[in-house]
Amino acid sequence: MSILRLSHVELRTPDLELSTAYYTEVIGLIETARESDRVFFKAWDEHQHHSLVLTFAPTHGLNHLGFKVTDASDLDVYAARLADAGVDVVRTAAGEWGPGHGESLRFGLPSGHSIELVHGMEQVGNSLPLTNPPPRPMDLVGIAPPRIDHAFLTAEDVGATSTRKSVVAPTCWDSGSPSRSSATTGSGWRRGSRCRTRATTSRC
Amino acid sequence: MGVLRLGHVDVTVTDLDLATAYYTEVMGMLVTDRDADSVYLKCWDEVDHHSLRLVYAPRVGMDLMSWKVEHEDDLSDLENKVTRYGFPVRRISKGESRGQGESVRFETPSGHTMELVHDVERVGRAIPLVNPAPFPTGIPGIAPPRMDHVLVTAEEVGEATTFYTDVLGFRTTEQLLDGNGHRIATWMERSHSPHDLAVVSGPNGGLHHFAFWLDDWAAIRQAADTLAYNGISIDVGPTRHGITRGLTIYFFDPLGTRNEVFTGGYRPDPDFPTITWTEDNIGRAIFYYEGDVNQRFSKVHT
Repeated sequence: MSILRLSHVELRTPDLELSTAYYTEVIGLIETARESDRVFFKAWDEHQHHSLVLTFAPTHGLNHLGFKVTDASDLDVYAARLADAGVDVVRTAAGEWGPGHGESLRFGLPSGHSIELVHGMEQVGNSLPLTNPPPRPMDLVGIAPPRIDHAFLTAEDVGATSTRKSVVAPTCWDSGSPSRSSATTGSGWRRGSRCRTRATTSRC
Repeated sequence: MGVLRLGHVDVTVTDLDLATAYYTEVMGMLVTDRDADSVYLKCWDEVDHHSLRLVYAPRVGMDLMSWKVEHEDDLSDLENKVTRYGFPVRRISKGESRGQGESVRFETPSGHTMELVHDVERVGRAIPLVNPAPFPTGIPGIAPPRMDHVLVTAEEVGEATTFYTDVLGFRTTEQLLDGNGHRIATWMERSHSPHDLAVVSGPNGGLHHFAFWLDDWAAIRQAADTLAYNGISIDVGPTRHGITRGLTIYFFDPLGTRNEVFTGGYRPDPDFPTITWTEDNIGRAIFYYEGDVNQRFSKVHT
């Protein structure tokens, strides 16, 4: 039917162990899978397999950003719409990109970001039982947020980036949360800002 | 597509002036309109014409619950579904109800009059659209940003729930089962919240409460201060629910309709697995800190 919400973020890190220690012990995410160069995490109240993926790389930054769609058929709908707009799309089957991952399609934004739409990620359950659950788990460490919320990107041409999103999802930015994704200019949203990175997830 | 959220609740009151004074000065709603027998109110962050209509009548109760649908053609789509299910639907034309265009109305299996509407007059929030402050100033009382949900009573909770889910597309987030596995209460959502509508065992057509959203626990505590200062009869709280995980206070308006202020909870996806509560855990299910439900909360409805 449409894009539902932010699903996951994949970040690059030159120190996978340090980043993993931070996201598990300070942020309080839960590790759900590990490969030689990638670690997968979710927040405690999330049911899906991962909302953060750390990938070993020489630099910091955002590799891609994923949005959950409500129905499997949405992927075909958006693929057709993107094709009409002349956008190249890469599709992957469930589990192909990584453990627990759903069926997906990926494309680039004019702002240089890689965006994915995903459906059917493995449901691993939140950290509570489905019968008579307490309101929160008692063994959390760190900040322990219940879920991922939104992402904030930078772009040199903010208008062009929003237009690409509207090709993908003209009615989808209205499901009750103030924002799932925002964009600001690449030169920093205030004149004179020293932060000039490709994404706010990079170190400024 | 389909039902978006609760639009407005129409409750009858035996003293329109007293009810209006309470909902404006203690609750902190804004009057947007009046006609011969009713007053229309909204919360400060709501855009639409009203979320509460107070109607003068010799008894207290809920006249109507109105739900906003996302698209205009959802009206005929849902009208057909309700009709096929065997419940007659009436079309209410533009101009018949204050502040809104065409709508459809029908009686539900739980004996409630339900309205679906898309075209609603937009009167705007109490803050500007350019460089808005994050809150309005000068509103007295609790001043919740918006209405949140409604809990109604039904003789056959399972049957009522089936209608709301199968015909109207609500999704069940949580259910409370008796020892035989029968549903004695259900919580349903359309707006990615723990509940927009809940049904609990009781007489058909009854209202247990309607609830206002507050932003956090600090706002709940401040609301308790306001209620106590104004001598309002508090039913339960401030406390926490096991079901919905919400933070809450229940209290009665001066005419006896139960209100709630609510925050917290979680954000379920449409594929959220239903949580089940068993009757032997009913105390923690309803009031997590007390582990007990008082008779008044169980029995009193309007």
